[in-house]
Amino acid sequence: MDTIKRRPTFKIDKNTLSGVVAIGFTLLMLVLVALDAKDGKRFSQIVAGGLYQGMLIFMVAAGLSIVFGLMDVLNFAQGSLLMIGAYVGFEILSSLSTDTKTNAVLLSIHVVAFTPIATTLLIEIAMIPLYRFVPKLAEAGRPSSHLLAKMTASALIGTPLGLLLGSTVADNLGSSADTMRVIGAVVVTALASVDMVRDPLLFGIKWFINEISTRFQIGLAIIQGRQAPPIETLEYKPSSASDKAVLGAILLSTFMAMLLNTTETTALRFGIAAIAAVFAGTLAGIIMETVFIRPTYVRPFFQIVLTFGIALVIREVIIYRYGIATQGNLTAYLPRGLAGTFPPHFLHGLFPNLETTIFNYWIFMIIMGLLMMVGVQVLLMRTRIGIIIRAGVQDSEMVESLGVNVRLVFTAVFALGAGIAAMGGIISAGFISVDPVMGDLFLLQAIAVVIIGGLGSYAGTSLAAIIVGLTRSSAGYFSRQQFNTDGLAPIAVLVLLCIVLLVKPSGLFGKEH
Amino acid sequence: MTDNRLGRRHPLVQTFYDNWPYVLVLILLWRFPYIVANITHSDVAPDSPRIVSEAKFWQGVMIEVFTLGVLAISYNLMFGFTGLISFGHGVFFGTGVYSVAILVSEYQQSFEKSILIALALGVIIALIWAMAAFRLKGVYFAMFTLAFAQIFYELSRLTLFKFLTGGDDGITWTAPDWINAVRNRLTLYYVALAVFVFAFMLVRRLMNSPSGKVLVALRDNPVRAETLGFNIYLYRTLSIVVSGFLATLAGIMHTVNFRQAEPTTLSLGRTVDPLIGSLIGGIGTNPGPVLGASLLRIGEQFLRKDDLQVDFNFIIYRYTTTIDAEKYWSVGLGIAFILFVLVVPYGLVGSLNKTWIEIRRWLRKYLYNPLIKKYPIVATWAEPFTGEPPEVAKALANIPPELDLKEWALAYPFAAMNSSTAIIAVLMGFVAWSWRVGVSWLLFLLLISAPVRMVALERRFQKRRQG
Amino acid sequence: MSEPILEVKDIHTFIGQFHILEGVNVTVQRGEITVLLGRNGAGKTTTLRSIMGLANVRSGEIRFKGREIRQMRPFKVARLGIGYVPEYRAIFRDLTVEENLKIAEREAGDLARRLDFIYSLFPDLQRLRKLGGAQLSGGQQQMLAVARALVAENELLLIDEPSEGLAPVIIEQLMAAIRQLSAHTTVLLVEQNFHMASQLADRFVIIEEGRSVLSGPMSDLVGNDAVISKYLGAA
Repeated sequence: MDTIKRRPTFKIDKNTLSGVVAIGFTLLMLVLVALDAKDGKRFSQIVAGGLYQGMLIFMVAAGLSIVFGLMDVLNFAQGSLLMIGAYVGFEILSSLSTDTKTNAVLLSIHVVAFTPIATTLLIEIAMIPLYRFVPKLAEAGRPSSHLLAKMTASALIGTPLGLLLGSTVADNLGSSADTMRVIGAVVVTALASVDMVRDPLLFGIKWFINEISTRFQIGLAIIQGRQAPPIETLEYKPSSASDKAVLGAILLSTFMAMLLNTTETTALRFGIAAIAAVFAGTLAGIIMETVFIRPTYVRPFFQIVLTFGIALVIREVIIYRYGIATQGNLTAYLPRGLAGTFPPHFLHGLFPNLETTIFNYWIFMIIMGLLMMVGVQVLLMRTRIGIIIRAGVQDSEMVESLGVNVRLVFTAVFALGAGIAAMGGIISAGFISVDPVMGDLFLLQAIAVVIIGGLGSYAGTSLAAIIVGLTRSSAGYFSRQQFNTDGLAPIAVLVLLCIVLLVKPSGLFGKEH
Repeated sequence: MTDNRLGRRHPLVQTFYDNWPYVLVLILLWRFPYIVANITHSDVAPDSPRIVSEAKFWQGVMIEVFTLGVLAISYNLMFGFTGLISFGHGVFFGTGVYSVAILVSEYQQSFEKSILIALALGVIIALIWAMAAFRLKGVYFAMFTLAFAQIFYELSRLTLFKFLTGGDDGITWTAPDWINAVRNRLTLYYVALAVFVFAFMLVRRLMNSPSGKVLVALRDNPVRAETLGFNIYLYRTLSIVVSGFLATLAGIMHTVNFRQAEPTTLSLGRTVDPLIGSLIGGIGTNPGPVLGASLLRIGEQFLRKDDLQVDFNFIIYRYTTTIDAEKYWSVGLGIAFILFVLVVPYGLVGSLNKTWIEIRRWLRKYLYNPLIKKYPIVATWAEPFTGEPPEVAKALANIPPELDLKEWALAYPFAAMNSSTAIIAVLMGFVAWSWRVGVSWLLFLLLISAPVRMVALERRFQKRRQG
Repeated sequence: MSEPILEVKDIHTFIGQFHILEGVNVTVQRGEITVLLGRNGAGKTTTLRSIMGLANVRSGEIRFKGREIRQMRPFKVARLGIGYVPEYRAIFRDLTVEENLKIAEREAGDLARRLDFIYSLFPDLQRLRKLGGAQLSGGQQQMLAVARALVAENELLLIDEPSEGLAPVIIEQLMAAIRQLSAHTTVLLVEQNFHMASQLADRFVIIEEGRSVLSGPMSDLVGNDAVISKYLGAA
């Protein structure tokens, strides 16, 4: 019997070395920039600019990387998903009303839909330390958000679709646009909820409350030192307390909507647009995976070509709808009444404390990117679906024969990547110029990131995104200083990509195949 | 299309049998300017360079078709036959475009010298790619080509090199008179046709050679090809260099036709066009990419010519709209792209090849066999289509094998002319829209096919005497 | 005892263009250990893969508890209560032992319920639970692979060549575990090691060139050197 515990020994392997070289390269670049700039403000601007670019690229690259690792599909349409995010977000944003009353109704539809899922997430986060110290709670299982997801999804489809529908109807009939919008949103949300109405548990809210109370009762039992009641006896038993809570939740969300509406609506507008964008991206991802990519898993040669074709179609449709010209960021397109509402007011202007040329919006983009980065990392390392994804990267057939519906996981992962890309789209739309070829540009950078980081390695992708962002901004700085042109930034990234490919094709952290 | 490997024909005759569809197309292309002129009643080559007659316009379209055709042939050699995915064919194309334009306009080099230098540059870039292909496989190689080409694209747009490349505006230059698309388009048409035929024959010859078989083996199973002792890198290099050479040639054709160089010639779009063409026509087949590319270019031309009137009266009362066909073209192209990958993955030619055997079996059972029972002579006419050697045809038609074909030939005058010549004659007459032209073609072809036919018959009799 | 839990009737399986199984019949009785014997490449592994739905079975019948499962997708087959331990110890190398077990959960709490049982069978795993799969030795990996199939309450385990490439001491340990297991579940085993098979199994099926040629209680086979040398080479 081998009882000797094998410890991982510390030695410098090829991956560590290449990681050190890459970070060294970045640091060297920054030092060069710092020496050249001789100015703290400018230096911090270059770094912040690099970081936000890196984060935007990361949002495209994250999906690319995970999807490639799991399914061996290099999705050439990932950049187009970013564009879908940007343009759908804009569509929703411009179809939102300027009228406060209408907004209140729309917002409450949204907030009602979001309260349960937001609460679940909050409770989940709050429970993490609890799960660690009270293992029995974790064993009892976590509130699965299947029904919640269904419900939220229906509201998410319903509201934006209804908005568009209402606007279209109003345009054609010449009646009051706002009334139509609200009616549309409500009707479509209701229609989308038909699937859930069949569920006897009051749109799942009651069910959710029961989940919480179950956990509460178990926790109480543990604290009091009693034997925790078995789950079977607890679940799906409505109590008067939960009914009150349902009412409370609805009231709370309506109140929140009213409150937010009266004070600052631009943030919520942006929120709604972002959610709709993410949702549209996710939906596009699901359709792409199930309709187009799934039949071609047996013909890997064609997948790359196929996604390329999809990217082409999306680009052309966008050109058809919006024209080819670059017209600054989407703010320029907004209807007159809504001008200046995007990005939200608090994101306007320069970062106040440093008195630099760093925009507030950059900081926002960096924070969102970091959130995504960490969020996906937590998802991969801490959750069951993360375990499945990591296992599926190695051997998806084996995962399937353990009883996991791998195809569903594939779709989910594709949708996740698509959602993140769409998020990147709506976020970038607030600052950089939006045009039908931005998808291709982002895709190119994202491919560079994914390959530099190592195909299929998520940590590598995260790091490479930052490296590429900083490379872009410092190369851009140098090219402006030396040659008075902006064009060298993308070339620097491409040259870096070529070098990495030729020196270490598997990337900084990729495994040699 | 026909499998005549069993045949005991004279090599010349065999060559003709193997290639008759190509010969047909070639003859059509050769006469194309005149056929169009005949149909549209316009001048083939108007006196003033400023006049663009209908015939001249279509010559221009066809030159573009040949350019795209050469590019598609080149792309197909790498992607379809060798299995190397390239997303950077624009770099070869653009090299051809920019080298000639820069050398002629900025450095006042002679046109011929510039072409040679451009081709040499294309080959050098191809060699760099081949070196990358030593290390990189599959997706990685594709990404390398993408990055490589994109670097050149960005460089061409840089204001830094504006003195050389003209930045986003590009360069305009003047082609020599004899090949100028404005002054002498007809000559350019025939030169482009010659280049196109050269490219087609080169790749076709290459793929029929033992090296070509190795390339296909490399695509299907590189490991096995390597264990069989083939130097896979050498063959990959061969494929990349020939492909790069042809793509550069296509670029030169492009710039000669348009007399300018602009950054889009280096862009990803130059990969998309041949890729879609290959997909529609059939990846990994010889005629497929050319067919697809020409369908694309000509289809686009027809759509661009006029807007589509769409009548929605049956859905919405009094709702008629004019659709800008050009706007829809790109969207439709992308959708066709996806549909072809999903539904017809082997393209038109590939799918046809796959079902051809079935079709032939069906035709033989219900059409051919009953027919030759009644008219045995059909068996000898139908040779090139059925792919049967004359002996088999005779057996099928119940013609006694000892019967002299010459007697048949004398008895039935049409038998002296084989079926493909007849079809060419009739088609040419039909296309030219005049029976006089048809008859003159018939006589002409009879004349030129007679020696071939005689040689073939002679050979058969010799065989019989020996056997 | 004599109720068949799994019936495989005359299945024909293809891998690509190749006709691998040309009529295999296997019947597994509830509560017993059945072993598939045969030479290398006879089609034993393919039989297991066919049952799991991982191979292209063109004709025939596979019934689990009377239910046809031939056209089902693997995860559905698994959810009916079949655990699969593939050849070459296909554990997930990038996951820790705990995560390797966690992934086999079908409902939340499965692992918590079964953990004691699993650790009692394989005490080593408890000690190694934080280690990565790649850091385990061959024997530990095999134990983990078997343990993973035990997380969900499976009624039938398909175990493919558990003894392959392991030291005799480890094989003994594994045999003990499998014997202990068979008190709870039914096992269909593929085994090259005839010694191990004869000690464990109640019943055997011999597969020869894609066909099942002989089956019966294990006692018929033990000592029947003529049959053993004919189908399995040297005993």
